[in-house]
Amino acid sequence: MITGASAASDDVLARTAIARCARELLAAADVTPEYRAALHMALAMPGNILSDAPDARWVRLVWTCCTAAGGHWEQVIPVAAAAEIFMVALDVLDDEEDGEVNPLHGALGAARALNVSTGLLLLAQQSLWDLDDGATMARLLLTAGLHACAGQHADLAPQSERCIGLNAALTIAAEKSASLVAALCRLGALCAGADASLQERYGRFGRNVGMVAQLANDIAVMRPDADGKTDITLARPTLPLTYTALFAPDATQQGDDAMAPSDVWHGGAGYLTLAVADTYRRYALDLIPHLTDDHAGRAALAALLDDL
Amino acid sequence: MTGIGAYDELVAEPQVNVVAMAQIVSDLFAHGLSRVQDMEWLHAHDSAALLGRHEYAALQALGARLSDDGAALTGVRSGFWR
Repeated sequence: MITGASAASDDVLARTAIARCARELLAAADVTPEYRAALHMALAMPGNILSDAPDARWVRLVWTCCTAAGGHWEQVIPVAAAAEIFMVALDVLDDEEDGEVNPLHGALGAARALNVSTGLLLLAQQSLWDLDDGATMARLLLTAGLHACAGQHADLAPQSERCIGLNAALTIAAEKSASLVAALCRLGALCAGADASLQERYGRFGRNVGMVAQLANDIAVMRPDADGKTDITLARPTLPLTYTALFAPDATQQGDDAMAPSDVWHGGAGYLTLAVADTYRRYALDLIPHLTDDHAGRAALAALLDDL
Repeated sequence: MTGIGAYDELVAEPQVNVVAMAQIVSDLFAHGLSRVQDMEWLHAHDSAALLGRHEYAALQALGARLSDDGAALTGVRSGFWR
């Protein structure tokens, strides 16, 4: 039986091994030293796998689903490294598209940050193609990436072109975030050798986890201390802001002034978003008994939801 | 795989009735936050019948954790459901 201490130890070992693999992939890339350094800079941004304190939020999904599905975390290392590189690339794009400044943008500017993102996307694909089942894995990530782009496209639409609605807001969250988390969970199951049916279940679990994560993020950026986030100023079609526009319009009618986070909260947007996120959390918990019969595996999957 | 629960009953992808939930939350805030912990009010709401069990439970659970002062929500941090 896996104890809490050994699970924590595995967490450190997995993160370290994935970071080592990411470094090796970078070192093996046929690029100039300058461009390699720029790619490294992206992977070393706060929270990313080569940073001093990686949060492993993406790769943990892969290895947890792998171990829950009967595999060992060592089986996911190259896949998780590729997935991390892929997700960092999308994060860089997301920041640029949202006009949010990150250390990479600060050091290199927008154009070269975009070029770094392109390189990371290619490196992730190249890494997967070298693996057994690499084509299947690459297709999973690419399909999810296309969904994410479609969701982002809707998210970035000018207000005049938006279809304002609560269901539309959830659809955008599902496309731009839940699709990616679903792919990461499915990749983990695939690494464990799960059959197609079980992979699909892990994907479905991941979609619900992804919805919780995105809605939790939508709530977090409403906090007064959420520096640099542009959801409110750009009036993004997130669930809390869509609800506020539809049900508490007074908060949105302040001339040229952006809504204050407190206006959003006091109209009920935070309450609704938390309740909807909790609904998805409950759906995800419902699925866990259908993913594994192993007690420790079930606990590890449930813990993914606690970390959000 | 032995021990894994029957999946067939879960095949249909759940659809969260966010419109009904929003209507309830909107009315809740219109009536004042003292209603947050009033489960009878939630049960009697016209839209409550449209909720699935998880949607209902989520609204109920959140209400039970909040103070009458909605500002408590601004203290949300990671691990809220822990």
